[in-house]
Amino acid sequence: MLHAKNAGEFLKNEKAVDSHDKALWFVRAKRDKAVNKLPEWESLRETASGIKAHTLSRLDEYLEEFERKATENGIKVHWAETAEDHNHLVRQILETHNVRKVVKSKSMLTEECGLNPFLEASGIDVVDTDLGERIVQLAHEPPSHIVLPAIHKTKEQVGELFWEKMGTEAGNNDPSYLTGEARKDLRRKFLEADGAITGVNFAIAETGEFVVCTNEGNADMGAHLAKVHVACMGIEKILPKREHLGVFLRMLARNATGQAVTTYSSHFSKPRKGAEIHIVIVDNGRSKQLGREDFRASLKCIRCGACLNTCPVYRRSGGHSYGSVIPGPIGAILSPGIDLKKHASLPYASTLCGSCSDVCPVKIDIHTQLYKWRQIVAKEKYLPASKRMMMGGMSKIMASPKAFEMAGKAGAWALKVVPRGIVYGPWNPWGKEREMPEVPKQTFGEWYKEYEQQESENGNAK
Amino acid sequence: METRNRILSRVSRNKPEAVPCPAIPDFAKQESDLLHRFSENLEMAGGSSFLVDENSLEEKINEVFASPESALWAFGPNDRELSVEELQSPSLLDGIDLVILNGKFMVAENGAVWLDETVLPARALMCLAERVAIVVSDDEIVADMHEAYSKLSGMDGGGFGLFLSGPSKTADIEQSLVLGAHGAKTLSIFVIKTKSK
Repeated sequence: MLHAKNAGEFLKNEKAVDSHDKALWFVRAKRDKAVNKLPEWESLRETASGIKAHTLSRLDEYLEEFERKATENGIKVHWAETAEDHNHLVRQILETHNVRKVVKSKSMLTEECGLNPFLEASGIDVVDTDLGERIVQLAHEPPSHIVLPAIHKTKEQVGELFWEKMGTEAGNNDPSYLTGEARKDLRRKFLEADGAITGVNFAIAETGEFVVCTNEGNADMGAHLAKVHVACMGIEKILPKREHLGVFLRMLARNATGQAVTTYSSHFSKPRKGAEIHIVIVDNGRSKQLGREDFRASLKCIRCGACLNTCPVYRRSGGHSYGSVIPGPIGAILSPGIDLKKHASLPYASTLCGSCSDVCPVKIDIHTQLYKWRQIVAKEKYLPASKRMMMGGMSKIMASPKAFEMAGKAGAWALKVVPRGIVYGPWNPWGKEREMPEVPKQTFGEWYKEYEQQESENGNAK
Repeated sequence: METRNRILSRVSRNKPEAVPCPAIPDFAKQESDLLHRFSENLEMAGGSSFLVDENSLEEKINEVFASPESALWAFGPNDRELSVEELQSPSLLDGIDLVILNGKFMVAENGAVWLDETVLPARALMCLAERVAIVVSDDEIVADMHEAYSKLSGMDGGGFGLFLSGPSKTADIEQSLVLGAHGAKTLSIFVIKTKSK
């Protein structure tokens, strides 16, 4: 299993795992505090989920309305069917304006499309400007979290990276110092850039405007300085009306990091004088997902990251173990829709405890969808042979009371007499990092027979 | 055009049966002491606020920002109009220590102030300056974001507007909060008293 194997790698560094787990739980706790301050939270979730369901049910109309209004506002709208289309379009826009240096703020969509390596191969210099994304860019790694891209790194690792790449003081790992140095370095890049790329948090059909949320102000720095601003959005980012932003902006930051709202919630409706705004609307499999009844609710996602923070598996396996652009529970239901074979292990990266669904601001039934993907993975025969054989064997044993009784006895006997080295061998994943249960003196069946006998001896009729 | 139509027709084919859009419920509002809640939430976001009389505003700003290296007033008798070059290449505005802007209104539930192009001579001003001060009248305040958007519905703010809540910040290195990631390192809101108490 790919995810389990990768997680095994992550788990080798116990100290890093502990700090990863604690940092994310800290964010989850802050989220609870912020959310509990709003008595109407559950009602907001219900409303948000309903608005998204409505929007998806008329998505084509709202996309057209958005395109019309945005165009009236002087924004240039482009459509991309695939990741490749998207990358070519962005390059074409940048090349038309002779852009050689681009600053980019966080956009999971451009990660999904592999935009950075594509532009770099065309000689365009791309700098990620969100601090976490800058850290992983310098380290040549993908982000490990959709809101906190460098959450897997300790400050010591960041200090060493900055020393190596930016010449900061050796051994100085103070987050304040390191952030200050990155600020100076990136300020220069903002001033030099001739193009800016941002993501889109929400796009409003009614007004043709779009909203970008950041805490660092990096999307604003890029967009307000460069002469051309390219905003990339998936087709599912649409909201029908401006008033709907009231619902979503109240939820996004509270649920993501426990803040009441992001520092900068910027509404772009027209380019500034002498500059251009381009929007690239991307499908890349989303319209297909819309057609899957069991999984279309995943398109309601607003990328707050709360399901990652709360997931006991994500917290202890790290974002990179998922091997998908979007990690965690939401990634585990989105990625199989893109490539089932490649991501067949992800629906199993869950305890199905349901915590992800509980914190989801738009009420996506994440754990139910994980369970449904498992059925499909098994049906399509993407389970590893060992698991398939074991499941087949188990179902036969469990279907026969006699076989079940015998297997239970055999197991108990084996645990008692077979040497440790064999019980905990590589063929027993249950014995990895974990003790097998102590064998009880008698089975439940034996105990029940004894109990029945005693009862009848005591004259207690059933 | 072909791509666009292909995407739209696939969306139309695959979309679920139409469901109605829910109305946003009329949530009960805590109307009491909005200003107090605003300043509490602004502080949580790393900003600070000062309640001042209109005629002592300049004095108060000078007191809070003792001798700034450079200050740019975007309004009032001290305002400096931006040059054509600065408007065309806003990166020329880099290096300003303090910018003083007018805000449109405050949001109590999250300490945010709405700014748009009617008060921003250049969009970049609010994130380029090291320190940002915003002046708002105390009666320009709403309880929450629902009220904020109904207030915005009749307002023409040009082509850009934002809710700004506190100084630029990041916690990307081990969740340690650092103020001043890229934009303003401090944000101070000067609330002008209009109501006699």
